[in-house]
Amino acid sequence: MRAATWALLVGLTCASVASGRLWLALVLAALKAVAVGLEFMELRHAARVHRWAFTGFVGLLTAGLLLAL
Amino acid sequence: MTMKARALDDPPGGVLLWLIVGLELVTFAIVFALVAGVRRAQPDEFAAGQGALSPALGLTLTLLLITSGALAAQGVHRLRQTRLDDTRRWLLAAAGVGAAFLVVKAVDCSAHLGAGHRLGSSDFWDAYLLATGFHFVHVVVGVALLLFVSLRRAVFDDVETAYAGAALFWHLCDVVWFFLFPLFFVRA
Amino acid sequence: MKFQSQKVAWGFFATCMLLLSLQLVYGFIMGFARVGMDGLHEWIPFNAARATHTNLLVMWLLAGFMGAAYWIIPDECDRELAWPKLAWVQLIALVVTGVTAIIGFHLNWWEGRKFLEIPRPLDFLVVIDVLLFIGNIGWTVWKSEKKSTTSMVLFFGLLAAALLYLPGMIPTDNQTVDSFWRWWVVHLWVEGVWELIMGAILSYLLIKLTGVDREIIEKWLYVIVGFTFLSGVLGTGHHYYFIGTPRYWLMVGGVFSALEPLAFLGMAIYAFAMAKKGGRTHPNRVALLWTIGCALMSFVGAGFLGFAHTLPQVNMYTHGTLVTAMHGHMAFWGAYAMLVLAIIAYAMPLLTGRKVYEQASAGFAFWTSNIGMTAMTLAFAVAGVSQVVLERRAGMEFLTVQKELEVHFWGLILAASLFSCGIIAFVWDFIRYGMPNAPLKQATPEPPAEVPPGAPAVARG
Repeated sequence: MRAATWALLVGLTCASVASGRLWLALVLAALKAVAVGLEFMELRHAARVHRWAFTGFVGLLTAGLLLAL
Repeated sequence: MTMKARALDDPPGGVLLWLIVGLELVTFAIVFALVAGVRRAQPDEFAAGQGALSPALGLTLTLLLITSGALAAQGVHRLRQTRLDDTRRWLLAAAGVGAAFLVVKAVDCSAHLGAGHRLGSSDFWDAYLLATGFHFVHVVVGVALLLFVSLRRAVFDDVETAYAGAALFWHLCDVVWFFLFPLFFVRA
Repeated sequence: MKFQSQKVAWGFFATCMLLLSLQLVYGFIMGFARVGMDGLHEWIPFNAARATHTNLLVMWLLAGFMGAAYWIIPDECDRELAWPKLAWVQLIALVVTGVTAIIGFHLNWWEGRKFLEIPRPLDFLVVIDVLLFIGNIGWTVWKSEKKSTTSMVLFFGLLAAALLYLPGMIPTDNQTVDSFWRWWVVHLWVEGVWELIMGAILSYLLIKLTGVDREIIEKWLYVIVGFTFLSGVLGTGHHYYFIGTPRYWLMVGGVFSALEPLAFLGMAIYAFAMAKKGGRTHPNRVALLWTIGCALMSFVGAGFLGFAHTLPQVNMYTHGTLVTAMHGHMAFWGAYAMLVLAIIAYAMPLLTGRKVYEQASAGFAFWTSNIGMTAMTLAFAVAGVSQVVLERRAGMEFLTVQKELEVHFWGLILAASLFSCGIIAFVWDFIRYGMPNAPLKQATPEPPAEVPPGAPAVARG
């Protein structure tokens, strides 16, 4: 799982550089943040409220940035 | 490996570290809002500043952080299998890659300063240097934490939480960088 | 009271009461001057009254912190103060320095630097005085077997406060550079190291008054105080808006000031949670009221009202208006004045063996002063917002606007009268407590849980 997550993160990073579009790059950043949260920060194993709080925060943050830009 | 879901007052990495992570996320969210504000208010100046940044460098920095984060995560995985000595080695490896990030970022920063892009040059450079500088400080703290828990684990009553907590802080440095990266490096 | 030397705290607390009363007098002098009744102008011009009002505040808060330290440190360290006589000498020296400074203000002997008006020679006396204090406290902690987190945080908070007085003495010819260093003293005191002192005193009071385990209170309260402290340090940037310092301070100040209310909110919630958890069995209910009130009002005054004008976009309009006075009054009241009054309310029954807290005047003092201060804050808020609109938006002349604002100062004077009723009640109670009881009969060790269930309503001494 760690190796797969690493590969996913690298892939998303390259995709965001290749696309060159800010909105897409921000969405990909959010996906990366959630992937790190769930797998690396072990939120998969945390309480459900905790998991959703983190994911929700990342979602709100990204939505806010997309609206602002 | 399956694990039982943990209670809210016993999060992976410890309550204290999660409080810190929560506060850091709010802090960085305000920083992102500020960068977005500068980008929106002064598009020309922002684009001009971005011209001096190297996307390849941004990519390198991101890949270093991701790799280091994966190494730390592997360490915590070993920890959950109660193989603490393995954990120590993985965390040291993560700290090593983290140190590489610091070196690359420091070289980049001194290049910008050398080219006359300093605090006060423009709102773009204020935002870039302050935001990535603030992140840099967090990476320094993160590397120091990883080294400290690995090398001085005897001082902790609860080594497991100390290891997981240091790794958690380290992942925070990744998460916030993921947003700084497009905000600064993706051109308009 | 466990130790004879704790009595010295009474001297400092009495000084607090005296200086606080004098501070109110100067507040009224200015309030009346603002509505045109400035008959005292020849003797006490507005600038002297202003400097006296703020410097008295700083003096009595410092005296309160010193008294609190002389009360708490022996208790926490479980030993007598190192040099009790030196503490009295130090108190007298502090009062003499302060009185000299205040008389100096009236004779136009001052530095004209907001909040740090006292003339340079007296600065050195303050430094020496504080060093004596730190030495006394530090030696007591050092010689003690028992080093509690609270005593350490209190000591290091006081030490850092002493060290941070020094940047204000850096000589410079440049007004901006001078302001830059001046805020190191003012801001890094009130939103930095004083918060460590506040955290230590609050934690001591919560441990004593709620009976919740020391481990729980110390660990989490200090985490919250740490957050407040960290956001406060970079929050210094909000004093560097539009005063000639580089533009990037807008960014630094804006980001970190926005965080400060969060930490204050955490402190308020935590204090309430502990009070609830403890079940309020301690007989000295008023001391607990002051403690919880301090946590709440510091959030409202320092956190919330501070945030009301630390965003650069807002501060561009509110900078240097009465909006600052609005924030300043409730912030100092909530965070520090109430803190000192809380420790006084807690310590006096134990110092004197009397139980004035059982009487109605004790509750009256708390509620009246708080309602009065809230009303004062509202009066300042209305005056401040009007000033911003007329002066900064409509572009009217400064003095024309001041004339328009007069009516709000009548409101302020009314609110301040209510506030003063509360403070008079507090001072009156202080007088009724009297002097510390002469011989120490026996040193009763406090029970481990601090409050035995169903404890009789007597002051332990």
